[in-house]
Amino acid sequence: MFVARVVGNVWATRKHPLLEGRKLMLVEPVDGFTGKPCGETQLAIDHASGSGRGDTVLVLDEGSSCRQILGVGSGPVRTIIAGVIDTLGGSGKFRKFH
Amino acid sequence: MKAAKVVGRVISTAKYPTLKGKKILLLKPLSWEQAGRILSDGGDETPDSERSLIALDAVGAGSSEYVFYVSSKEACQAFEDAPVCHNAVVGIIDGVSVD
Repeated sequence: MFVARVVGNVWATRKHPLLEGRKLMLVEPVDGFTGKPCGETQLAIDHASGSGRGDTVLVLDEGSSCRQILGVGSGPVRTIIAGVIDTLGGSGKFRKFH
Repeated sequence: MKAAKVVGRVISTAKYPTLKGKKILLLKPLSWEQAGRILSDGGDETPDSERSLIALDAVGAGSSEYVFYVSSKEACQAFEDAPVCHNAVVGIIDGVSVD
C-alpha cells in the first residue's frame, strides 16, 4: 500500500468486464509529508472512496486484497484506491489535507 | 496498470498449450504522461522507448491502438482458462486527462 496523489483519469469503453462501470483514476506515488512525486504514475480503480483529482489517497497494489475489496474470485485488477487521506502524522510532522 | 501502444503482433505455432488461440501483441510501453500528450494532440506518434514487451490480448486490441495492460499474476486472471502470461491488455484507451 502506498500514498499517492490523484493526477488524472482515463476513459475507455472497450475494456475487461470487471472494469465496467468503475472509475479509472491515475495516481502518482508521492511522499506524504512533502507531496514530492516519488514513482511512476499508474492506473488505479476507485472503488468507493469518491476520490477526485488532487486528493491524496491510499493505494493498494496487491491482487488478492483488491479482489477481496471488489468481492470477486479472480480478475485482472491489482491497483485500487482504498481511501482518501485526511491527515498524516509521524516523527513530529503533521499534515492536514483538506 | 500501465499504458502502451500496440506496435505489432506475434504469430507462433509452437508454443505452450494454454497459449493456443490467444492473440499475442507486441507493445511499446508509455508513461501515462506520454499517453496523455500523444492522445491530446491527434495520437499518431510511435513512442521512441527502445523497450518493448509482449502481452496477451483480452479485449480485441488492434495494431497502433493505445491500450493499458496489467502485469504479473493478475494478467492470467484476465482469461477464463488462465494461460501462462505476464502481461494482459485489459483496455483500449479512449482518452487520458493527466496533470
